[in-house]
Amino acid sequence: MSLPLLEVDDLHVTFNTASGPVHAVDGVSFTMESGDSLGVVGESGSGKSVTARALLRLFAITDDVRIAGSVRFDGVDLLRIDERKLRDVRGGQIGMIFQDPLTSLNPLMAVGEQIAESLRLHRGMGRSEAAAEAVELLGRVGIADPERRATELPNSFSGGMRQRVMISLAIACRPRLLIADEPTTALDVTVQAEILLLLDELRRSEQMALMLITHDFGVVAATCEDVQVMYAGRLVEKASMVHLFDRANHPYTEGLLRLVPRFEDAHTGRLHPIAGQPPITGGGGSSCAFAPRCSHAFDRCRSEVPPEVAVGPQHLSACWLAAERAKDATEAGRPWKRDP
Amino acid sequence: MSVAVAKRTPDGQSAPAAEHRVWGRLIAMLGSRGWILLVLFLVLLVAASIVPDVFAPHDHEAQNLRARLLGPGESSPDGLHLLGTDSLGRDLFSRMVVGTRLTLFIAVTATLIGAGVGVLFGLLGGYFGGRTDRLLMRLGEAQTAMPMFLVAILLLSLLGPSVFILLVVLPCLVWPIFARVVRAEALRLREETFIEASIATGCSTSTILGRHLLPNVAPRILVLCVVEIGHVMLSEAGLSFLGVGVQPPDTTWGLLISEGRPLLAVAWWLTILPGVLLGISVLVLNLLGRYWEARSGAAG
Amino acid sequence: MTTTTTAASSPRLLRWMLLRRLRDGVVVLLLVVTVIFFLAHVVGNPALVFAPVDATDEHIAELHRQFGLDRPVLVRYFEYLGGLIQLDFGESTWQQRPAIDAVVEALPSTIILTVVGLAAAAAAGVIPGVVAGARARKPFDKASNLASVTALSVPNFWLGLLLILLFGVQLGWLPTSGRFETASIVLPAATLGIVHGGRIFQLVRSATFEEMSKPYVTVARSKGLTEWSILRRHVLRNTGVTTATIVGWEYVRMWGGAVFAIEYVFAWPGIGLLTIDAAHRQDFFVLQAAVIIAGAFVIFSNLLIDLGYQFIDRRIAAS
Repeated sequence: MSLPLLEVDDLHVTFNTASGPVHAVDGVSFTMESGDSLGVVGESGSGKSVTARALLRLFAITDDVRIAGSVRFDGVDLLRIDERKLRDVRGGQIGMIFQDPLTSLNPLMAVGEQIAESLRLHRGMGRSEAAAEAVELLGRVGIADPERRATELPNSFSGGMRQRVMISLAIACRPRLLIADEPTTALDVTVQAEILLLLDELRRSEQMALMLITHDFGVVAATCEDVQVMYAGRLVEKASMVHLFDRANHPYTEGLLRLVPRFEDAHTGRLHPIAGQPPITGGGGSSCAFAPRCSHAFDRCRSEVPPEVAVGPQHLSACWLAAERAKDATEAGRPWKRDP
Repeated sequence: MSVAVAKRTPDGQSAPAAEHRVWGRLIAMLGSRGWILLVLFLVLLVAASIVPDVFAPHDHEAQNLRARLLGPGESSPDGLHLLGTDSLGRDLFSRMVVGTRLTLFIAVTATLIGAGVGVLFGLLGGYFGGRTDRLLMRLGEAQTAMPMFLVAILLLSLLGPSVFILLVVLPCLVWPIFARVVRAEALRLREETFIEASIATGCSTSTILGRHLLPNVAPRILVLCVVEIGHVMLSEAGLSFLGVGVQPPDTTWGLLISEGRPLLAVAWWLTILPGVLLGISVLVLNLLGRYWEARSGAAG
Repeated sequence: MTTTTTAASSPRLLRWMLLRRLRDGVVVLLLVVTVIFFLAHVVGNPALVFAPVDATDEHIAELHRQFGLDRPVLVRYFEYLGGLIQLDFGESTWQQRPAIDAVVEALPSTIILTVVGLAAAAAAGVIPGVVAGARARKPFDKASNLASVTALSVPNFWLGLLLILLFGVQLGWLPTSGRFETASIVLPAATLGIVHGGRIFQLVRSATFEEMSKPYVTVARSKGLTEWSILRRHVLRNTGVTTATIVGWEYVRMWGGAVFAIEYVFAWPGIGLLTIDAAHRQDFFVLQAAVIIAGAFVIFSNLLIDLGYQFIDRRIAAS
């Protein structure tokens, strides 16, 4: 088998803040192949966005960050190449879409120009060639009258349209991996669906891998084949989407799936929140980070970090009860569906 | 952006060198505790203004024509003159110590008066809005668009320079800043539900202002006071330097600079050293103000 | 986009804004003039100003009548306003000529000094401010930040004296007093540049820093742009107007204080030196004329800055 497209191995990200270090990502490992679609799910603060940013070392100028581990993209460790080579990867090999389309575009630059900038940088196009390609790209992401729209400033676009512009910008240089960080969170529900469809369609037509970061299982279900769940900077479970929905193993995943409002619950009007709050200082402890909120927790959960255990084909779960729960699940099917 | 990519150790964790950590901690401590030094300096100043005799090695008025224009560190029969002597043989360090009292007194009093007026106007404008607000804010705005320093010179020369008149003129320079801050906060608070609730439950205007608004703005006002004391010190020094502020035999640091000026070429210390003290004091106030502002900003 | 509506209403809006500003300016000036008048005529006694030191009471009373000071205050006030409108600011007792002549003679010197000083301040403040803001928390940022706070903390006249000591007295490189040669302007303008450059630096730095923290900058980074292109192509485009405004405002601030003390230090024959000389000689009419004319000038430049700002802003919105 050839080299995987992306191979993240034991990634650690620590922010040095005024109130001490925050271990935002704590030993995350995963791989992606070309054409894969991976959903990364977790609550805010689970480290999912930080993981994505760490891949490209994209942090705010004032952040004091330590990254450890390795991120091999096409066999090259992105954490160890110099800034110049990294810039070729950013936007060229890996495109990125961000949460808030309203602030993600330069308010004083025509959208076409913002796309063309990338094309000129990575694909060596001339001014007019890049401008023409930008119009083409805008058309591809479903913007009507792209020729005229390309010359307009972002403030004349709606939120959904801006996110389309962002997508065209991210895919402009035909990246092999597209990272979408909560791409639909700031959008209306109807627009969300359109954007997800567009992402899915582009992934297939451009043969990109897609890494979709979200707190919403619904979004993953619509777009991704694989899913991994993060909690307090660690991966707690990974599986194929279909498999996970059927046989969620980790108690946290189970809780998250319960959170998705379901049709069956409509008449009772009941929601099933997970009790307690996620830790704010990230992981780094020597216990299962979810133990304080977990109804199944026992002594070992509070003294040792559970390893990732295979509980099925392509299915890993970091829980001391993983094997036991996997067995139960096989017998009962969809454990999360049994409401107590 | 400071992204450090750690070398991997066998356990996959990053392991910074131990001595690196010690230095880092020392620097961090100085960074987080540095304000103590600043406060200490201010305490010294206040102490010098309360009991100058403890700090002043010589009688600040004592003239000694045989010990004229001694440079810093030189000695006369009276003893060491740490910062030198002036053209009448008076000890500069002692004069600076003695000048601290009036310098601080004018700066603190004028700032407090200005703050009081500003807070009052800000509250009135922000709370009542409408015409009162427009009038008061226009006045403040207008002032920033006037050569107020010239106006101050004119007023002082018209009314006769004195400490009292300075305490009338200097607050005029600072009140608009306080008014602006308080007004902004009042406007913000007026929108808040708990104020609406207090109005609904029949609290009187003065209760609302006193109980809700002031406690909310108090921290910012305090920080602003610290910074503005420095600014007022500079303004007073400027006016005294120009001869329309404090008059001899009273003395402030600004006046000392002014007295030294004709001798700049022969006895630089008379001009430069009081300015250094003044500059350091204002710098300390500025740094403290920033530090506290940053901290309160980070806290909420 | 709202271009069509903006284009239709904005010239009128602009004119209305300018008129309002002008009205405010006139109101302020009137206020200052009124305060001056009543302070001089009600609290003080103008006759005393003209009376010799050894004047008898009768002599003062005689002067009182001679100046028409025995008439009702309000009558005198409106007469006085009438005089001001005709640019009659009274006679200088010290220079034996109309006060306005002395002020108009001094005004160009101050304008030249402030303009050169502002250029120095902008040079000292803008570029380091942008660099420090773009590389926040780096050594350069920390060092330049401390330097600028220091520049803002030292008394400006003292800084002038320090420069005189260094470059005039010790090194003998530059003239330190008067306005007799081109080089005379170097030290006073440099002093102004340091003091006001400090503030410009602070404001530009924080504007740049704030802009650099916006999400679109992260997006630009994710496109693979260098920090330099991000700064040049994205950030500066957005902070340009703010920077221009900062510099413009600093000019107004300059007239609020520093320049006059610095003129005195360097014997620069401008409004500040004139005012201080007049203050020492108790020449009330020159003092008054200087304050009013300088005030009018500041209000006028404020207006110009606003106008310029509107113009730039509109052009950017239109492009």
